[in-house]
Formats: sequence, C-alpha cells, structure tokens
Amino acid sequence: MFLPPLPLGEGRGEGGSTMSREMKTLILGYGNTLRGDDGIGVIAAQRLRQAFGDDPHVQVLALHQPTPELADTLSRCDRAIFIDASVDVPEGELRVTALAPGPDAASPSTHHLSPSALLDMAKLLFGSCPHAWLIAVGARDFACRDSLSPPVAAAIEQVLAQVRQLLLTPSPPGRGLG
Amino acid sequence: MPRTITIDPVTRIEGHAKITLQLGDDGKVADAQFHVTQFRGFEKFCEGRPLTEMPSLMARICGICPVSHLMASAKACDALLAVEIPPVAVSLRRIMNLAQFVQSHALSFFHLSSPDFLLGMDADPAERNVYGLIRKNPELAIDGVKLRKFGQEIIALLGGKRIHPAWVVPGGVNEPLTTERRDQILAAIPEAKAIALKTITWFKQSLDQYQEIIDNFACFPSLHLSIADEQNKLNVYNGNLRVVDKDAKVLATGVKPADYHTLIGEAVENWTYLKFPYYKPMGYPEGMYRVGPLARLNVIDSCGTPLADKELAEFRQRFGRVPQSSFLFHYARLIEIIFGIENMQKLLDSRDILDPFVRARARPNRREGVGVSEAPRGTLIHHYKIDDHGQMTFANLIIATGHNNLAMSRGIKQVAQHFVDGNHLTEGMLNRVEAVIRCFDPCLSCSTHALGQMPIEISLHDAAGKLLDVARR
Repeated sequence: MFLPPLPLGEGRGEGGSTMSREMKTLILGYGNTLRGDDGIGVIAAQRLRQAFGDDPHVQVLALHQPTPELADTLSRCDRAIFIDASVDVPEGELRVTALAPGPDAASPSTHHLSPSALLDMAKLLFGSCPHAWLIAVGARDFACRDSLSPPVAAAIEQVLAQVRQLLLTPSPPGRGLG
Repeated sequence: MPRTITIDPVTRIEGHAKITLQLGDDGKVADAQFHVTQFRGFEKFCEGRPLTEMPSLMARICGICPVSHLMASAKACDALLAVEIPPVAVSLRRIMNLAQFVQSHALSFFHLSSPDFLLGMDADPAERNVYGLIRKNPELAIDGVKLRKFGQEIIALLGGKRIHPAWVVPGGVNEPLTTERRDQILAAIPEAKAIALKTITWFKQSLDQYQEIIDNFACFPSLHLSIADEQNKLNVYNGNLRVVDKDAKVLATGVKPADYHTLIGEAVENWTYLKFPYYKPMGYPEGMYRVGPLARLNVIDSCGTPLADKELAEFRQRFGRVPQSSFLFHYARLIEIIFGIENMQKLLDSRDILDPFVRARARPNRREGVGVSEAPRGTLIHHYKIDDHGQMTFANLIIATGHNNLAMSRGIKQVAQHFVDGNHLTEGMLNRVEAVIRCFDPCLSCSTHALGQMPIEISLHDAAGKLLDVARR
C-alpha cells in the first residue's frame, strides 16, 4: 500500500519490505536469536522462506518483534500464521491456537504488540484482518547465545509441518475471528 | 509534614524509571528526582572485541534506535581506520538515518504522545492509549502507522531488516542501492509528505488549547546542543558541535567531534544509573543543556529544505528564536519529519546515488576515534580506543537521553510544582508528570545501555523518608 510491492523472492534479510497484492498468507516468525530458544520463530521463518520462496501466495517475515506498522500488511491478507516461543507450552512441543483480534492490555501503546492486538489494529484501522493462528513452541532456555536447545531445535520440522497443514486448511468465508 | 510521591514505573517511554516527589510542610512539591533504575554496561563488555564488530554490537543497545547507534559507531570506526568513506556511502547512510528519524518521531508523536493531546491529560488511563486514539481519531492513528511503516520499510530496503540492520559497516556500507529500491522509496515519498504536512497543520491548529502546558512543561532557560553543518543548517548525520544559549548567543561552534570532551563533562549521582552530562565551561549543574528536536531547531540557522524551512519560520514566529518549552519538542519532531522526507528525496534524486563504490577498506590506522551523529532524541557520541590488534580497550557512549537528564529532572520538578497537590493526588496530575518526560522521548535502554520496556512508578515519602503512597502502572 505504501511502498510499491516487491516482486516475490527479491526481499532482503527479514523477507522483503512489503507484500504483493496477490499474496494471501502471511507467516510471521519473531524473537531474539541472541537469546537461545527465543529465536525459534525467526529460525523457523528462515526455513519457511526457503520452502515457500517460489509460492506467490505466501509471504514469510522473520522479525525481532511484532510492531504496529504490520497492521497494514495484515489487513491485506486472508490468513496469517504467527510463530513464537512460549513458556506456557511443554518444552519442544507445539500448541496451535486460533487467534481473535483483541486489545493488548499488557502494552497498549508501546512499540511491541501481541498478535491479537495487531489483528485488532488491522481490523479497527484498515477494516479487515485475516484468519490467524499462533504456533507456540515450548521453550525454556533463554540464555545469551545464538543457538537453540536440542528439544526446541528438534521442533523445527514439526513447525514446518504444522504450517503446511494450516495452509491446506480451508479458511471459512470472510476474514478474521471476532 | 513533608512527604514524597514516587511515580514508578513511568509509562509510554523506553526503559525503566521512577520519579520521586518530595513534598514540603505545605503539601506542595519541594523537590523531584528522576531515577533510572536499569543498568547493562555495554561500555564495559565490548572491551576486547574487534572494532569491526562494534557497529552491529552497539546497534543491539536498542530496538528502537539501532540505526542511530550504527551511525555513530560506524563513524567512530571510520575514524579508527582513518578513512574518508565514499561520497555515495555518506548519502546512503544519511538516507537510512533520516528514515530512522521519520519512524522514531512517528512512534513518539502518534503512538506515545498523541493520546495525551487527543484524549486529554485527565482521561481514564485505560482509554488514554493507542486504542483510545483509534476510537477518537482513526485517521490520525492510520497516518501514524503509515508514517512509521514508511520509515521502517526504507530501513528494511536498505539494510535488509527493520531492526538491527547490519548494512552500515566501518568504511561505508556493504551493498549499493539498486534502481528498483531507489524507485520504490521515491514512489512512497509523496504520500509520506502529505501525511506529515496534514499532521503538522492539525497540530498547529490545536496548539492554543495547550497554552498552560506549553508554559509549564520544562519551560525554562537552558543551553541547547546539536551538530550543524558548515552553514549552520540541519544535518543529522554529519557536522560539528554547536551550543547556543536562551538568547541564541553562540557559545561554541565548529567544535570537532573528537573534541567533544572540551564541551561536555559527566557527573554522577548515587540515586540513578543515568549520568548527568553538563556544559563543561559552566560547570555542574549550572551547565544544563538540552538536545533533540527542539535543541536542533534552536541551534541551526535553517533546515535547508523548503517545506521544513517554511514551518521553521512559522515556529519561530510563534515562539521566538530559541523557544524554551519542552512541550515544543513535539512540534519540532513534526518539522524534522518533513525535513527528513524532503532530504531523502533530494539524496535519492542525486545522479550518483546508485554508484557501486560504497565502501573504503583499511586496517586500523589510529588508536582512538570519535563518532558523532544526531539520533532522533539528540546528539549521540561514541568514543572508542583500540590496541595494536584492533581490539577495543575503551568505549564511552554519551546518549541523547543522558544529555537531557538535568533538563528532564528540572522539568519534572516544574510540572510537579505546578500541577501536583500532594494532599489531593489525581491520576491526571501524575500523568502530567509522566507526560513531561515523554516530551523528551527518552530512551533509557540506550542511555544506560540497558534492555527493556519502561513502566513508571511514583512514590510519596515524608520528610523522614517514610513511604506514604505508591502509584504504579
């Protein structure tokens, strides 16, 4: 919308600066790769970018953290899949949750937003938000290092399989929950 | 009985802090202290690292303004290499720095501070946030998202990612600009410019309702410090240090970055991790100065771009040659956004911007180097020393928020004395104390080189130090 779309595959670093109109699914993996297992979202996104690099309907972003300007990008997608580390899930396991748009009570106005808050902003500001899921990967080790613990590293293949499964899941008519 | 109020944590700023208000026998505020309660110590743990790692390492100080640290760090490393970097590399660094200004100023104005403007200082804190902004003025909220996205997208296009890009390196940048990316940025400029102009028009129309705030939000005489180019125009990437006083008298000008220590001393207090830089010729604490958007506009003669200069002229017509109210930091931010967009367009339109020669290569040729640039929040100084192997032996970082520490503390006291009645505390009073800090848009993660968000707490103590009340968010 703001910057003209990049042709697919020409994005740099985190996966391109914007999306083309044809892309319907946005995958956002985020975290800090210098804090051990917190980097699982970014590493999974990097793998997924390799896997879906030729698919014109899938855009993959590897991010440090979700930020407000992503609301615009999300509003123009049909589906979104967020990938993040979680201490609420058993280590190395996955929990897939359908997300509904909703305000973020914890940080309503800072530079970091939860996936639900981002969906909420997309819906409130741009009139639309995608159907969305969060793939939470159970993690425990957030020490200062740039590698994953063995249980979390082993979960990457499960994340890729889960993303493929979600992409095969037909979305209900219309966009977004809530 | 004298009492103390503490605000802890302070909200809608970057980092962790608390405020202590000391009340006198009459229940009025007698004194105020701004405590920064986080510490990380980047200056220490970079010792022993090779200088080539420094830009990327220093960028990790902050997730909001990593680009600013990249710039100052790379410039310090350029000085260690003793290289003159290719002209196109200077232009490309400047474009990225300007994009950082636009996105950071947009975050500060639209997301962090506009809820106060639109919803009022006394509004319910549950509403006084970005969601309240969306409900009250969705168009303004959308503009904020778009303008921030504009800046972030340019950083991503140049550096490969929005946060912690590693594209700026000692000697220049590591990849030239392509025609396609240049055209993408240029195509986005008209809408960004339109948003910036629309926003400043709206803000100017609403200024009259803030007169009491303008008169009491850290509104006092101080010095102002910034870099400026040789014609004393606004240049947020390169220039020499310049200091003016409240009457626009030039106290220092053309001071080379390497000589920053002749202007700036640093004092410490035992109740905060944030140091207190001061203008050395005047001593501590009399040498209080401000940096950042307002200080820059007070220091320079002109912006050097037509739309920004038109706005600067109107700004000075309304508030004088050297306005002293820190509330006007917000106004100055909007002028700098316009300047940034205009300046980027000028740089991108230049014939040589696609030149592939973007990096000078050299081994270390000096043992000491200083890099100075302007960050959105103010002047940023990186000072490094290395050994014979190019490994770091010393680092001193003076960050924008640190420069403003004396002025922020005094501003808190002024606001508290005007708005806070210790006998009848209200949420709105406490929010005004926080809001004066937000004028400076402090980044405490940067200034103590620490990581984190910034909630706030206000505590109330009696003269004997007994805690009477605490307000937290």
